[in-house]
Amino acid sequence: MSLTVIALLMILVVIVFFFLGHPLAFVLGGVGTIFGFFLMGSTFFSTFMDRIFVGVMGNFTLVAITLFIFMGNLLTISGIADRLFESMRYFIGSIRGGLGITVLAVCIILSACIGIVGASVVTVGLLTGPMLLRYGYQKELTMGIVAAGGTLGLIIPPSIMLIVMGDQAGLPVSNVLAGAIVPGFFIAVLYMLYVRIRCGLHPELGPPIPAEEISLMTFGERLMDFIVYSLLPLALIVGVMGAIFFGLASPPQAAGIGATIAFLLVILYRRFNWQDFLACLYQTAKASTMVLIIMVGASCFTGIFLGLGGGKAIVETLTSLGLSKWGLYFVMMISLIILGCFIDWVGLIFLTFPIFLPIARLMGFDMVWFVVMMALYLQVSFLAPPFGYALFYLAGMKIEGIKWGHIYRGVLPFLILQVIALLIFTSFPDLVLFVPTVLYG
Amino acid sequence: AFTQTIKWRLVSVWPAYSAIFQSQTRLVKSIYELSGGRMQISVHPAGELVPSLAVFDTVSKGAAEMGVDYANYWANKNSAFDLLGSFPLLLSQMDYLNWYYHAGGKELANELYGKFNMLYFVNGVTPVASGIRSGMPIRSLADLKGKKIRMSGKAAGYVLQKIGAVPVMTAPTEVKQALQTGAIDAVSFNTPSIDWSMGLGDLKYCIGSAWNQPSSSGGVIINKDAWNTLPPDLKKIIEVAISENNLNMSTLASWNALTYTPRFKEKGVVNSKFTEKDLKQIEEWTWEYVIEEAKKNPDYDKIVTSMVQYLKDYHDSRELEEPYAQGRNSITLPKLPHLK
Amino acid sequence: MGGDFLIKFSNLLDNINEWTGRIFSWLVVPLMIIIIIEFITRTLNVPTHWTFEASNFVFGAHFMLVAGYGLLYGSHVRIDLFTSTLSQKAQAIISIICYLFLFFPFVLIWLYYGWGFFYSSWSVAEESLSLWAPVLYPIKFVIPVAAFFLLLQGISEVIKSIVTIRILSELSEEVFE
Ligand code: NA
Ligand code: NA
Repeated sequence: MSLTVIALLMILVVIVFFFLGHPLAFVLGGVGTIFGFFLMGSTFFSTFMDRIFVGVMGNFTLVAITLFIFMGNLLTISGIADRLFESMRYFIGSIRGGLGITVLAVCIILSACIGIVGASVVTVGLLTGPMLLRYGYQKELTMGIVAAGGTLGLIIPPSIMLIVMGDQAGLPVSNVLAGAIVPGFFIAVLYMLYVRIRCGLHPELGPPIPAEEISLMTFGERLMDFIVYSLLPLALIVGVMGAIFFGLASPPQAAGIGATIAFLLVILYRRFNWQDFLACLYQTAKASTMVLIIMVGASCFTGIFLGLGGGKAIVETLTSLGLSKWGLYFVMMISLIILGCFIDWVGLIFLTFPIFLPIARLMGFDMVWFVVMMALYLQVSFLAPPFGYALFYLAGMKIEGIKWGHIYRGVLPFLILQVIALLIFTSFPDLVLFVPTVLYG
Repeated sequence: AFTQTIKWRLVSVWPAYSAIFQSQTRLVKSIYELSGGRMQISVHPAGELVPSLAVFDTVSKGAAEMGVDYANYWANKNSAFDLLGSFPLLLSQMDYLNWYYHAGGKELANELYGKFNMLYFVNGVTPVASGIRSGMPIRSLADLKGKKIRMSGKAAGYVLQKIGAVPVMTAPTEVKQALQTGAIDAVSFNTPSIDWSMGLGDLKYCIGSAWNQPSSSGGVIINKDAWNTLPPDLKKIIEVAISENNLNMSTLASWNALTYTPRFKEKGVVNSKFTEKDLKQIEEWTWEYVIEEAKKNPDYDKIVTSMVQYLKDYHDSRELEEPYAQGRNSITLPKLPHLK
Repeated sequence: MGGDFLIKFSNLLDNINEWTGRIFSWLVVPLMIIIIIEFITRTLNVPTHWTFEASNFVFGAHFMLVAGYGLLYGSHVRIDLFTSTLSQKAQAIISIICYLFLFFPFVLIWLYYGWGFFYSSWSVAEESLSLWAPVLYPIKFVIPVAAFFLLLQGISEVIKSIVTIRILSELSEEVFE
């Protein structure tokens, strides 16, 4: 059996068992164990421990994951996120589509901290989906906004996905985060413009807040509310990111500071109670272990996969296809989208990086740009029907009156905008590299 | 005749994107060709099979038969390993090679690695590092006070603390940015060519030479059980191939250092030197550290005494060789108990 | 009778991991505090030698020790898109197969080699490479312990599937009668 066949078989078995509903972490670890036992011999299992101990538990960059999740949970569970939404709604909800734009903005802020597709889509969806519908937003548009907004956070720094990607690619993490700024905000603005224009043309799709409701508060009150409940949390995010970009803090430190400030905000807003705080601790534990145990499983899988020479075999097969530089680029990115339909980003990074990055290096792509592009393509795969991850989470929430059709139709326009952005940033890499170049030379 | 292909795995402490990694591919290719294809070794960069710091255990346990190592990384297994990679003030490039091949170094190294079921072969010694590079003027030991400095090694860390500087750990990929953002003020990395590849040419000041790293040695480690399964001719082939690779690597490192130094000059980098007085002070602190460690660990004592003995015995000869001598006669020597 | 015992045993295992989760979830608090100390001391140019490594230890212990708790709550990413259309009995059977062929081999290897990993570090009192140089065996001990918690939870999950199958079979027999 050739190495390529074994490599493909390993991936196939992972996909089959994942579809049988077993947790990804243990599918990866289990497939690694079985293949390792028969093809590598059991002495090799000692390397699992080194990979777990040094590669995952001992990886300082990953400390940021736990702390950003903690920060996100503090903001969400304490109800600060609700107030954030309310204050923004009163402030800009009076324009057509304003509520939808608000949701997108909230999504960016929240999922910026959470950075897990499932968690951010669910958080944002539960928080804002029913509210948009109640204010008369069209079902399709609502679903599109929630799904697009929930996944957008993945590529807007600080995103734990970008942190893990930079770390695993052997790149300075701050460069990757800086590279994602222009694409992330460009896409955010595209989304907002779309909502504004669509609702401007068809006000019935996204009506503004009724004047009576607005009049309950004076402009001064609304402004004050906006400053206290929107700008403060926003300042937190900007501050945390700034600390990373300007080298005042490493990502884990920034996350630690962010979590501390979030905790102080909870106290400041008089939102602290033991029940919520415990819920926050438990939620943080569950989400952290979810991400990091996948890394443990993936790390063991990858060790066997690469030890068998699977990575090299696939690289050789791909490069022997006789494709041009850009041909290979699109083969890689499209396989990423397809794999992204089945596997969460954590697993994907471990599966694709050892295969794609050497090819990209060989082809002479700028690595920061390449990694940022991978992140952008992944967001497409989370949104793309029929298998997009975000769509499943959305459907899983069972919001009243929402059918699969609403979700699919709603997501489509956002997906088109996303593809447009992809083409732009593929054609003009300098747009991505501009910020890292200015910041780090 | 029936010949069987032997397939081994080589795990490396160096990542695929590092320059040193090329030499491993070169070594494996030599072994393949010399053995007429009987010996096939697959090369795995750091992180692929195991992370850098796990290379030692992986080869020790036989999960991979062969490894490319850097001895300082194993100082927590036995502090004596700290002496076999790079160490302040001790052996220069040529000294290390002399010591290893002719003054008992090979036997001592193998005695130490043997305790962990491994054989050791030196596989490339780089010459003295460039020195401490910084964007701010550092012209003496006193200027280092209060500065955040990236410099590897425990002994160097001890000296830095004595100086009143702050040793900071920074991953190689983050060094450039750490400098730009002020997370570190100065860095001593490696030879000029490697410094250049890290983008350190932008730093205006360099104070040398690098007392912290007069040379830096890499090795090949082989699991003993795996080694014992090899027929005699393959053993010889591997040994000779590593020696040849060592020659190539060591001279290439010297040559690169030679060719890259002018580039720094063209960029206007200002070089300065530590004074005799400064170096004497550094010697004092380093020997303090060495004597303490030698008391704690007999293996450490044995190896460091052998190295210092080499320096002591070579002293008169080196003086005679001046000004054509390689390396430097230290001003003082540590008063180790077994030094003859 | 037997079923009753199984259910009780499964409940016991669930309870154990409920508590491992509730206890070790707290580790995020010292993690945050250590990181802040690290940041402050570094900014003031009086870096501490232990914070950097200590934060990594606490982080590692946190996510590893709550892995069983995560499994109890089904937090580990999985897709039930296709299996959810099957009968409950079929789902339970598939789940048992996955546990037997993937989960248990992996977690048992993890436990066995994790114990060896800890034991060899403990027997030589292995220290870390850093200036702080703490002994490493306490944090290495986390690896087999995490595997042990996962193993317990895996057993509980399999029991739940067995009980489901049994109840469904009994129900269908009753229908036949
Ligand atoms: Na984000
Ligand atoms: Na997807």
